[in-house]
Amino acid sequence: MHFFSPKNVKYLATIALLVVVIFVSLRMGDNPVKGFILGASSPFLKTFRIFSGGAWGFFDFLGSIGDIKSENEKLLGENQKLLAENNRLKDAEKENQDLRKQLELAPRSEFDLEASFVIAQDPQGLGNYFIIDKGENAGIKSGMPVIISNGLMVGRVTELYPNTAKITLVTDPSSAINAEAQASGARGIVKGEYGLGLEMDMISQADVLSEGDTVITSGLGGNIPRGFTIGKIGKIGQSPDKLFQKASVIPAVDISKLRIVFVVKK
Amino acid sequence: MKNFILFIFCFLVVVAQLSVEGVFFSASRIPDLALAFAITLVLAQGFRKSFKWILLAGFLIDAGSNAMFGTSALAFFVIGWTISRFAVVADIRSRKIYFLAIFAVIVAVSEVFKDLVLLASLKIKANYFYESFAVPLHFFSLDYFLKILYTIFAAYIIYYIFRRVSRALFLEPIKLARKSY
Repeated sequence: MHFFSPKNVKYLATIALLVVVIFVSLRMGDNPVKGFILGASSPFLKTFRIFSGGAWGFFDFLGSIGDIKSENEKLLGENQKLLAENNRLKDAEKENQDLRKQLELAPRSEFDLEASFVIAQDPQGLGNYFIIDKGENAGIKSGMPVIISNGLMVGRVTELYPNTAKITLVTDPSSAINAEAQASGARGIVKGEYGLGLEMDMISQADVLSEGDTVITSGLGGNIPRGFTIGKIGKIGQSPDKLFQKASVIPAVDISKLRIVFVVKK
Repeated sequence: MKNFILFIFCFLVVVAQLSVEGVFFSASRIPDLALAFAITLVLAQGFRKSFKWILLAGFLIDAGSNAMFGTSALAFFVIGWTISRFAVVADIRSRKIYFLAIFAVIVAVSEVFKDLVLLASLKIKANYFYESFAVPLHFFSLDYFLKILYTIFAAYIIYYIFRRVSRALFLEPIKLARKSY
């Protein structure tokens, strides 16, 4: 069969048309068609996500029955310890409030949070991001940080649609966040690595890092407030040019299994 | 009726890939159900009858993807068209084990091709917006190997379900892997 038969010409024309669609979508930035498809399918995505999360939880529970007894004993011990720590923290909280008042810092409870469901994740496995069921109409703006309830940093809003938004996770290779090791005060940049890993880079040679130190957002640059937990320092090493230190950061939460997140609006 | 069933089938596959798989698989190992669906359709009923569904699946996946809109649709279309031009699948369709082996090879090669197209798309997008580009996947890694393996298994399952659906609802047993361009 001749390659340029009428049928093949039709297929070649379709390919050319698709290439045009791709380049048109590139110029339009946040594509309205994407927004429409995600908005229309959002209820289905949410329902399927919730049911599959439930199913996963059930299977996970079945698999862990054997561990429950020993875990229960461990938790009882931890509970005692936490009760004592709770009393100590109540004092610290009062002291913290007084100090914040003096330093004119906004208390953490004053963040304007927008709770959202995670409805979809990257379908191609080529980026660490997910899609939530709130968007522009809920007052969300591009660049806003996303956390989970106890102040753990998850990522940032990178694409906005009317009723959905795309959150790029801190573990994405394109993500870079100003961070600080809490105990030593060492500052650096936390970058995402392939396969849900994190690395803290650009740490001064003068800083003393220690494994297990908590890494928090430093509040420098951008619009991410100070104090959101990113993870803990893992293996410490040197940058290839030996000018800076670097360290792997163990994420504080399994980001891939999140169901509900909070967008920090203010 | 047939079109409606195919639409539901296509929609369910895409919703499963976007929403459900992330609960059970880590991000870099998510099997590509939409690709498996596209290959199944081409093998089952030929490219001419299935290309509109392939495009639909591609566009739906693109809505949730990081790459430029239309990239997956283009990749699926080219893959479908290329598969339809090979007679080899038709020649061995009567031998189950060979068919399964060839089917696996087709899925694996298609997955790599599609990911290369997506990487090119992401690279163009990064250049256009003057952003830094970090390759978000390693072809020679356990994660990628498992992703392909899971996609092959998913393709077998989708193919099996499609055959059943085709027999029960379309009242026309599918003509396996016929060269149909």
